[in-house]
Amino acid sequence: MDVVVLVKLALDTGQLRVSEGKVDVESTPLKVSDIDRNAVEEAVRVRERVGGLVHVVSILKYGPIQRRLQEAEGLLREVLAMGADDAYLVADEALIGSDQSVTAKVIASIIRRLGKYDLVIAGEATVDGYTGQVGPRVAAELGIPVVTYVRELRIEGSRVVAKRDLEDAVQTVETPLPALVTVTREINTPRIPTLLQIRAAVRKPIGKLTLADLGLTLKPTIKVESAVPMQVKRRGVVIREGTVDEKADRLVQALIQEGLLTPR
Amino acid sequence: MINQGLLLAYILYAANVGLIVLIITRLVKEALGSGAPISVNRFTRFITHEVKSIRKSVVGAMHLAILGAVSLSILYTLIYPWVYRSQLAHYIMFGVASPLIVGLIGAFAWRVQVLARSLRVHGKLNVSGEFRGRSIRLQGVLMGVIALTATTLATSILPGLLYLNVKLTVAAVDYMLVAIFYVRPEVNLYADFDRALHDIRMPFNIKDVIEGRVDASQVSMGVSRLSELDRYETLSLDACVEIGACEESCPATVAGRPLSPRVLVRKLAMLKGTTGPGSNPLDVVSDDELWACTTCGACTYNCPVGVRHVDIIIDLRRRLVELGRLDQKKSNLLLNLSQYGNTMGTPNYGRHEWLRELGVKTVEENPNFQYLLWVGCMGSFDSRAREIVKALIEVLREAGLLDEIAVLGDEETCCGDPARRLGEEGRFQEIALRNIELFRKYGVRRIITICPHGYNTFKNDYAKVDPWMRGVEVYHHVEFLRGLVEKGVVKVSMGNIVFTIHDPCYLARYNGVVEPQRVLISRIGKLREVRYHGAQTFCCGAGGANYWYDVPEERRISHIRLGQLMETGAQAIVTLCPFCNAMLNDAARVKGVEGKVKVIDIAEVIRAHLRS
Amino acid sequence: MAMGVLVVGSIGDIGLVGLAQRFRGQDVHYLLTGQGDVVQLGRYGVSRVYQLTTGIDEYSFSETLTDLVNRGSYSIIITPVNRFYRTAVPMAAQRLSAPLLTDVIDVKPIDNELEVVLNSFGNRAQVTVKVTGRVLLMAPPARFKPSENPVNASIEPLQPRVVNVVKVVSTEGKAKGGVRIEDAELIVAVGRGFRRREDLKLAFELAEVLGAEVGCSRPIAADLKWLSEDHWIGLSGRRVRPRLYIAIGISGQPQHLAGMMESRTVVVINNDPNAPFFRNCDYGVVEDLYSFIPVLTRRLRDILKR
Ligand SMILES: Cc1cc2nc3c(=O)[nH]c(=O)nc-3n(C[C@H](O)[C@H](O)[C@H](O)COP(=O)(O)OP(=O)(O)OC[C@H]3O[C@@H](n4cnc5c(N)ncnc54)[C@H](O)[C@@H]3O)c2cc1C
Ligand code: SF4
Repeated sequence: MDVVVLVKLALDTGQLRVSEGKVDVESTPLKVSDIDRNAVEEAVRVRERVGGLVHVVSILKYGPIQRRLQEAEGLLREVLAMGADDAYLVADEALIGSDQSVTAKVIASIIRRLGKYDLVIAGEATVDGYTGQVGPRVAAELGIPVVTYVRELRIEGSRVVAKRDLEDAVQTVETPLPALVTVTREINTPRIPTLLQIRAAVRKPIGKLTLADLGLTLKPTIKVESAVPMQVKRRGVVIREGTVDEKADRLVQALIQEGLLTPR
Repeated sequence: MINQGLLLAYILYAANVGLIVLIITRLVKEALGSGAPISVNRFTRFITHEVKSIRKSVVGAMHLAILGAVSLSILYTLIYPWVYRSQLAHYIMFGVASPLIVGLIGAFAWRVQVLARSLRVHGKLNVSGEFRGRSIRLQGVLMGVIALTATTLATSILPGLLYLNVKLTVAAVDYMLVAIFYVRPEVNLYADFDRALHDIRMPFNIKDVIEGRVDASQVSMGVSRLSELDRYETLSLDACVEIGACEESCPATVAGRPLSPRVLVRKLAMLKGTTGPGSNPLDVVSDDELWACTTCGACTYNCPVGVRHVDIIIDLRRRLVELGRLDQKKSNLLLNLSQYGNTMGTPNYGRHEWLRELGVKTVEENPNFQYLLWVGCMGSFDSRAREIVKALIEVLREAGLLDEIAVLGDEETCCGDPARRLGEEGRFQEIALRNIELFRKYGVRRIITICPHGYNTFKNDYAKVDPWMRGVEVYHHVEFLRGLVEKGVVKVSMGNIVFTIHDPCYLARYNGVVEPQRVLISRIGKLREVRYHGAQTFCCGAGGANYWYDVPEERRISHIRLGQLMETGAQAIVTLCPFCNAMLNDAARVKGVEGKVKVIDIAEVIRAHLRS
Repeated sequence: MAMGVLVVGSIGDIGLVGLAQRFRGQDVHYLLTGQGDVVQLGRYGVSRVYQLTTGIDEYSFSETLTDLVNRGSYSIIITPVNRFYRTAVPMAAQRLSAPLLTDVIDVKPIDNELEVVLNSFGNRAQVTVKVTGRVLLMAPPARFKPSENPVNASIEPLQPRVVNVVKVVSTEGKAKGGVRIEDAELIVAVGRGFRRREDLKLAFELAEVLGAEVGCSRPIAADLKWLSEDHWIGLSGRRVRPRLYIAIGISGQPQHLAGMMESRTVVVINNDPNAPFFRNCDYGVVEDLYSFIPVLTRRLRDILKR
């Protein structure tokens, strides 16, 4: 059984660099998006149970490409060290800052070129965008069923049985393969590859591709104008004086002003 | 006609001599096999070590009593043909032996107590019936040896053939048991006595991998089979005779965590005995048993026969790390190290901005610095630990030395200790190499750190990764402060506060730094020592990366330690480690005794007593 | 730019019409799922309502939505946020080859382009994006308030296109109390300032009024075991980053701060004016929690009408 995992090399939003009041995307480091680690872990576990191969597919979304390539390879090596067999990295100027419809088309094109695949696994969402679109979009592009928010996964013959975590219920569903699932953090605890395992993973192939290699030409539909970081400096307003009622009033007023409460 | 009794005596004598020869041959054979150099010099140092162990602990004294008693018993046996007729000789022999007999009685009593505790521990850890049986049998045999040896010595007072024959019979049984059970422990000690606590197995040097001499996929980090342990570790397994000193001093056992160093070592020894060196240690040891260890080193330090529990535990943790058997908290620690370069999971840039406001310069701004101040993860990010660094800075400013120091700024990352103790040796060595490269780049010759973990790592571990580090002097801030006070660069005033000192394991036990803190406190106030102090300190519970994860336990180690420290009635507990400080402060808060006792770092004590 | 705006959601998602109204001069249509008062939609200027009364799965919904968008040539599609829409809408967006922007705060049509402001980068930055052509927008309805603009709404029942690829085997209700505090937007956190386990109900009542999750300091979860470990916030607990963090009876030790430092707004309630937490808060109240929390809860209940 061959599994494809989608891995985003996300902006490490915990370490956003700022310059002149704007997020400096180009000098913010990348990281393997947290939940995508769960996706890789699950893919490797599926393979450990039923055999086959695990392919990693990743689209570089942040520039500058030349400098990012090495960073991206280092991160993919970590993913390979977790047990994946090979990786495909698409790096192309046209993809920097592109929207997810483009990402999904590129991913689908790679998956089709792989020929044989039974299961595609993605994280429920990425740490930077948190839009959770790419999984369902790829499924739509490939015309295969999608099961999102999976917290438990079983392969039964040519079907996948999954437990989905919904807002107020847990749903057990079943669908034929090939299919795409997106997983939640709860599905497993991803293994952390050791430094030696990461080093040993240099042997595993990382195929670097451009849109031309895939025979694609894609038009951008969106353009990011600016990104302004949110202020995290604490105000430090301490209400010491007054009766309990007065204090409560002052606090509530402050919260309304912050836009945290909307009176009905 | 030859006296039948005498004939029997000679036969027994011959048997005894045979057994003694057996003991000696086994000693020599095992010693040769241990790989330890056999020389007069080493032997002398070994004996000195043995004698000094009296001062270390009661167990040490009792161990020495047994060793002395067996040796004396053997000596007596050998000289019997020449002395057995002399009444006086018997009195002298008894006189000489009597202190040792007292020692043996003490040792016997100790063993009874160990037996009682081990029964309790077995119940708690829920060990197998077979283990219990074997453990009790071994302890029984060793109590037997003590009793038999004592008998051989005690009977030396009784002249006459009949008693002689009784004595020689007892001795024959005794020596037989000694040959079987006592040779390995003694040889192990001979091989290990001078191995430092921090000198754990280094399974590979990452430089060989980076420079292409060794392929990464060919290197294994942890131990998946007993045979992969180093020889000294395997000898350790065979050496354990359940003396129980480790278990008595182990904070994890005391706290009711699922670990007893004695049980762990014996389980592995039994595994080796039953299914051979190819067995997987993780078949008999649970994950939490390994994570329960704080690597405080009390077990190894106290073991009279030199068993290396911590080394084995780290080797097995390395295996768990290799297998990815880490829960979320431990995973987060490793992820934070690789993503952020620090253990706190906070962006690393700007970590020393707050120091700039205090007038501390970076190595780039102050290239002529004398000392690199290694601030560490706690000192850089933790608001309480920053207070400690601040106190040190203020003392240095007072001494006019602020320009002598510099910090690394954004280039400072983790020292690597948490990675190493967790079992990620590769990550540790990578961090070490990166730091060494930085030290070289900025021409670092001396390092001051407020954290015993960084201290130990720079001083001992780094030198094994790259010998260049031997040329770098490493100081804990207490050593530095002592120098300043003794030279009169910094003047302190005497007050009337009663202090007690919590010695950090990695400073006092691992590196023998116990004096400077006492010198300083004695000039400032009154010192009341806690029962476990100096090299015999009791862990705060944070070591071995335990600060970042939790293990099932009945009581917190930090609460136990705080209790011990508070028994002294001191008004202030002096810490020398930001982790200890955090642990004990937290314990005081949760126990609601914050008002009764202060937990403060030595730097803060000095600052509060500066005399200008 | 020719625009027609389609809002998708149940009647409870009517707030999204507020966002739709920012496209001035555009017809606003509504794909109404389930039952609802169409007149109420008309009051806010919704001129046509497609009503989908049968419950269908995400896959079928995405097909149905795609058909409707193509039929009505809508160029702006606005949907609420939940796991159903997060699954269905991207599929529709892909079929429509259109971008989908989530966590939208504001939109500004400028000539032929549309400027969209949204929260992104893990809620750490506001990003402004320019779009040309068709776009789908996802946002929490409560963020917007539609203004009145009464029209006569026509209503048309919508026949879904049902595709059965994913079979639901069973559905169980979720055990209550299983919080995922890492994702919570609002958190009320409790510490040792509470004297007894029963007293935590003060905090739970406050949380309920706010729609917040309850978190705690380590002693509450690990030492006293009053709450389960998934409530535990800090260095060795969970790391949270809500919009609002209200710490009650927590002193603010570094190990606790390590887990909540990234909260947007921090409110601290403590009766000790020297508690370190006051040095790390946006708003602090020095007061006994036992007298303060009930008053605060009552006040909030009044203004939030809950
Ligand atoms: C290795 C390690 C890891 C740790 N990890 C974590 C962690 O992940 N998370 C965590 O939270 N802690 C952690 N701690 C513990 C931390 O150090 C503190 O002990 C803990 O956060 C204190 O919890 P608290 O604030 O609830 O209690 P306290 O510090 O006792 O604070 C109680 C507060 O309540 C106030 N108060 C009392 N009565 C009232 C009243 N009537 N009205 C209003 N206020 C009142 C008091 O003034 C006080 O400030 C860790 C500690 C260590 C050593
Ligand atoms: S944290 Fe302190 S007491 Fe604990 S192991 Fe370390 S040095 Fe020892």
